[in-house]
Amino acid sequence: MKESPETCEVSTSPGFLQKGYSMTALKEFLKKDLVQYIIKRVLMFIPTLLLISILVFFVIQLPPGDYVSAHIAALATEGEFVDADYAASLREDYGLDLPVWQQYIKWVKDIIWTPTDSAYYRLYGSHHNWKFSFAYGRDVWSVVEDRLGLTIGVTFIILLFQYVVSIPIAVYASTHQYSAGDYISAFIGFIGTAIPNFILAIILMYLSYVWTGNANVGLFTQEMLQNGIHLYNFGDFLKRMIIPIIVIGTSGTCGIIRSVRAQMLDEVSKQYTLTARAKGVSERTIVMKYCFRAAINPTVSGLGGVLSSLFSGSTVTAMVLNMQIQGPVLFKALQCQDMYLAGAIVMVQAVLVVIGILFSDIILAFLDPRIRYSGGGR
Amino acid sequence: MAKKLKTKEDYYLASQWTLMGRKLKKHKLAIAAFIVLAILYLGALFADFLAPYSLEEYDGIYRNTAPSKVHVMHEGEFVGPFIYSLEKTINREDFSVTMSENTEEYYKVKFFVHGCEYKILGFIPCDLHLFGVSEGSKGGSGAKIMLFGADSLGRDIFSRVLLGSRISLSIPFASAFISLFLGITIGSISGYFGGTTDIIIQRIIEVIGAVPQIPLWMALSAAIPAGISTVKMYFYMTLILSFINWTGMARIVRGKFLSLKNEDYVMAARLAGVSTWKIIWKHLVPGFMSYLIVSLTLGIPGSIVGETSMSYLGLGIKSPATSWGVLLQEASSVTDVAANPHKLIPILFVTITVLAFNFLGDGMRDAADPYK
Amino acid sequence: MKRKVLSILLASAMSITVLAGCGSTPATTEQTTADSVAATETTAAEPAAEVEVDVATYTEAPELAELVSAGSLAPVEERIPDADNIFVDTVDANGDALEIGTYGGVINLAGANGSWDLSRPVLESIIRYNTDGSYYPNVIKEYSFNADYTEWTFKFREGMKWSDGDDFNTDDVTFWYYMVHLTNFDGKASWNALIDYKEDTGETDEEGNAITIPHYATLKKVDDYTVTWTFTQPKYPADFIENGDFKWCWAPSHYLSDLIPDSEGYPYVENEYWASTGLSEEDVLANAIAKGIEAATVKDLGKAVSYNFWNTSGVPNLNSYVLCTTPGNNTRDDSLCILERNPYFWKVDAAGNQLPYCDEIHFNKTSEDGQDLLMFRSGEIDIINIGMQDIAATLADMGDAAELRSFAGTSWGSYQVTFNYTCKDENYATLFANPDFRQAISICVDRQNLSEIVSDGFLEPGQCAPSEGNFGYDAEWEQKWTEYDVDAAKKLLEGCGLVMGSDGFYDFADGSDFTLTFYTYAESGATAAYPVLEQNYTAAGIKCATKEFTVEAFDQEIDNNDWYAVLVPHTAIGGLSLRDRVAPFVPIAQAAEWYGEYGTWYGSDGAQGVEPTGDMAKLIEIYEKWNATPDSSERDAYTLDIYQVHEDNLWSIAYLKGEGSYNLISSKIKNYANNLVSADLYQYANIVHYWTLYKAE
Repeated sequence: MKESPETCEVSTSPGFLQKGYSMTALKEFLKKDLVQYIIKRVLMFIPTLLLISILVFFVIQLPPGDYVSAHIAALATEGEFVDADYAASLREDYGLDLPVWQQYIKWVKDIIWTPTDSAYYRLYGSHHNWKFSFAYGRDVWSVVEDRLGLTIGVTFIILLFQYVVSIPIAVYASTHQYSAGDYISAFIGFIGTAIPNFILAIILMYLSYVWTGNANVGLFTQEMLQNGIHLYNFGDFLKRMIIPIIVIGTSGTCGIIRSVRAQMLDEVSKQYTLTARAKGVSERTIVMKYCFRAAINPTVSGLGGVLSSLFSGSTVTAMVLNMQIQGPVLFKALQCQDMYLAGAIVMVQAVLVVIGILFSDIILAFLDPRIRYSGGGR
Repeated sequence: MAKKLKTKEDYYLASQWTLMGRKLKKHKLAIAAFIVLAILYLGALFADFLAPYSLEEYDGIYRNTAPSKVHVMHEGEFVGPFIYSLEKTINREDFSVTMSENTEEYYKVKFFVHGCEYKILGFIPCDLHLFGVSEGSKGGSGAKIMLFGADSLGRDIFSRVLLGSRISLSIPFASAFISLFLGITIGSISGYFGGTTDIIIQRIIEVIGAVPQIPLWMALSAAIPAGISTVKMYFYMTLILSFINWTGMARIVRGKFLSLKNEDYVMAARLAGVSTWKIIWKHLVPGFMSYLIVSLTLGIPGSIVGETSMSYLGLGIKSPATSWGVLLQEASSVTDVAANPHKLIPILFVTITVLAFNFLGDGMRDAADPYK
Repeated sequence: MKRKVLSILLASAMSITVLAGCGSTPATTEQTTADSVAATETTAAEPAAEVEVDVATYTEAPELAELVSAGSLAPVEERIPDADNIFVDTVDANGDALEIGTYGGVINLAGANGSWDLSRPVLESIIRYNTDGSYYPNVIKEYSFNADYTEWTFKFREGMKWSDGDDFNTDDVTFWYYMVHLTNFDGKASWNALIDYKEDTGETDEEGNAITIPHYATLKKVDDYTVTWTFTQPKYPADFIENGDFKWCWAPSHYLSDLIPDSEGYPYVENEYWASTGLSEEDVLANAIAKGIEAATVKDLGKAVSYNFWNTSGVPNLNSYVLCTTPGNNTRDDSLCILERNPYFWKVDAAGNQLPYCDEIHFNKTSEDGQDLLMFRSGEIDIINIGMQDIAATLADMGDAAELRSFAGTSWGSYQVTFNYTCKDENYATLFANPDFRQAISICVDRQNLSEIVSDGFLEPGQCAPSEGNFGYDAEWEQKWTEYDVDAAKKLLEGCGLVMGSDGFYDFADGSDFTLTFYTYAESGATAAYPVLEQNYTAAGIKCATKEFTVEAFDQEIDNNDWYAVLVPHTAIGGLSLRDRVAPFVPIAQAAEWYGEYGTWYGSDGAQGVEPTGDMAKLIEIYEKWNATPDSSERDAYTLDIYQVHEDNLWSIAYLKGEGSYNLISSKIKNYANNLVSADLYQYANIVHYWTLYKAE
């Protein structure tokens, strides 16, 4: 076992640990360690992204056939038949006749930097060629951009909902262990996970139709799709968000409730809590000041995972609810092997998740200095 | 006094697992959940016996019919539980179907009736079923008892729920254990050795964790050859689900290793010359078993729900083989929700199972808490 | 594997010679449209006697009238042709009189997925069909042809304008032909309707395929509203004006002229009307971007602006509604795609009201099946295509707010199975070729039970035959080999040389295993029926299996000839008629499962595939006669001959009668005819005549 030099550093700066987050220590920390840590993490970010891009590109190519065969089959279903030459010339145009690794290198290279003397730069004036979506007949980035803002917005609202709902439930449950309230809150927290999203979504839409005469399919009314969202119709938009929030939001609360509750229970019975209690500190202060802060750790560290499961979990739900976010576009792109589009969406989502992880690691490092020093980084 | 001492002694000498069992008993909901799960798993084990019909008994008359009405009074006389056979009339104007009971003849519900053949536990041939209907009071045949109604091919949903539970309850279990094994092994290697190994493993975990599951599912499912048997499909699905799930476990294990590996007792063991593997499995893993159990129990319901999502996307088990995911997928049309709500009954089973695993997991977590 | 198309370069060079050679075509006696109507089966759609027509003055939609009074739009009389040239729409496709509607409102439809979906409600083509198969000139005012069918004349409507207000005239026709079509800019150079003849060079390419050079028709502009198409060989109506591909022969020259390249891939075709644009492919793509059209390649651009032009916002056309220009609503991929009224639309109702009645058509994109059903329930969609199984539940929820509209089906039976007659495995090929085997496969299934299970009994038992009400319907044929008899089926199988093995399943005579593996694809709907069929086959001693593919992989397997049997073929036998599509009746292309490699043989001019023999060859023989005659009664007779061969052989077995197609419409929608026919020749929903629909509030 090698002892990393950083681990030794812990013992040389006991003052920092003992004093807690005193201003000087904080300043010092922000100046040196955190910056160093962030730089290190961001550097780590690059190989991760490269690995993701490789995985994504090859995973997308795994199913048999390619976009051209999918496209031709779709044409055949419409009653149009094309000959083999047309297929071959399409493959050549799209570069699908090259070996996969060559396609990959070209893909990554063009995204990173498309030279000024290329036709793409002359036509579109951009150095980052995400290539064309075959199915949409448009620049991939413009397709991704269309829904990116909304995807992030919706994900953020749902994430907020999950934390707002689940943390109080978890705190309550842990301070009232084995009470009826504990059980009931657990039940409420878990029921969303327990009913498969897609079927819950269909049932809720149908019930919405039966009760209100409107099925609330999709995030927008026709009027919004025509005129955009403004203050006067924002209320309608929020109405449309109810079912998605219930379906996607509740499906994630379970995990957060459980980890916070578990951590809280651990902390409540720890020595320092007992000491505090013995000293007469009020139960409320103990819970809120000591335990809760410690219990937030796993929640923060789970941010990346929560984000990832939100993107994945919301794909099926978004399809069922006809939400105009990226999930359904991704699914369709994967189905018809529109690989550059699928690749771009997966990459963007992956980057968002990695950024989420990065954030959570930085916050964690800030909250718990031990992690910062424990070698390698997460 | 002596007795009390004895109990106290017992307490100190009891193994970790005995203690866990004792504490678990305090968590009433967990006990209830355990009983529910035991019933469900027993049901899956003896599904052939409990289900009155097999997966391949189609019946056009019963297409989409609501649950059988069990009567006890026939023409004013008490005859015990029985059902009537059904008659179907179709209207070609608006494509509606009307079912009516033929009350001329009744079919008694009997226990231990002979039906389709199957093998108990996979090897003892048998054709007995717990209950069913045989011939009618006037010697007629053709009535079927369908407690949960019929699906769109006229199959008994009650039987399909039971028979489907064999797949739905075991795939997640198997894949959770594979994930647990992968997670502990890879996570502990990463956490214990640190350095370059750690960095590489962390990158891999990050990558798998960051890529959305849908493309992974689709790609991995597409890699499964077409037209394979249900058993193989089952095997592949287990692998796919565990391949995606192990990363979470590995992260937890690694995190725990990082905080535990410098504890005094580990240092002591190392100084005493205990081998690395023994330190990991004997001294470190038990130290965070509670977390693993939480993750395991969280992983199982996650996989149950995951299986239903895969079925919805058409990536999982395919009919006539049945899982709960297949049943839900078949009931996920608007028309079913509107006109055939009985087809949604399988949701209850998924929900109850997932809740039960969650409650049991909570109870076990509390029980395994090393600080109490 | 497949037929090699000759190179574009060669083709254009040849068409130049054709042009030069056609300069002195002798004048022939022409028949007028009126005569030709009598001579062929063409009948006019407007039984003027029934409907009183008064188009002395035109009326327009209030929103257009406002624009006119504001001065931003020309008056309606200047926008559309005069009474002599206008199209007066008085009857629906069934020939029933239309009600005079009111202006306003939006028709909401479900999302457009396929590349043709936006065109279905709005596309205006050369001719238009009625449900009885008769047709009448539509965009063209009239057509005529000479006695030997070598010269066709199209007369267009004077005063007609493109949807952007530019004049429509025959320059747009010559532009389309010489600059768009023959350059292959639209990617459709092989439209049979315009090929005069194919010259066999006697050479073969490196793959052994015969090289043939097509020679194209010569197009001449007579005046601003008249063109002639000249051929050296007779061009009969069936292969020209009735050819389903030949829907248009015009393109907006004022809009497209800076989008046509003159490059290696799309070389200029010498002609007397248009000079080369001299643009490179990159120029063209840059010009397209300037017009707001993104395309990865010129091939994509050409397809977007000159083939599926209805999908591209900004491209002027002649349709009743045109794609709007608002970003976010102007592609079929948008959640809400809006088609707006064409202010220059050249049709009026009997009272002289300019059509269409409704302001807009909205396509509401949804991601999953069933969402549109919910939106229909909420009133967000007005017209929806619906499966039989969903009709009752939806009507029950909606009450009087919805009405059912049925479309007659043209399919030759549902749940078809077919076999690979050119199977690589001799044992299977011989077995499949034996009609007794097919009879056994047909009678070993309990059709009544299958019908109950898959359709509640709504789909009646039947055979692969034209359905009632369609041309060639024969009650006897429809019931051929449909009587359920397992024992007889077993006898037939034994007669085919199969022997019962110890496992209770038949084996081949040489002892090798016989397993009938049915290939299916996910969207075919075969999955539900397979287990029921499997039970029936198993009971008859036939071991069977199924393999489900994605539709692409499925097509691949068929192309590679790596298959045995198919349940619910991608291209089934049957349809409306040979006029609709030939491929489902005659083995002439590489498309359908039932003729497999036989079709490849014809399609590749004998270079590949398997030469058809016996009755398969007979089909081609009759088809060639059918193709070579202009006389409609003769063609009907040949069609019946072809049908007879199908009845004798039953290369595909169908178990149930064909399913029709159903729409639910909001009760507010008026003028939507019932009992229409859904067929490719009629362009499916196009037969509804959306521009005559109006909304009663």
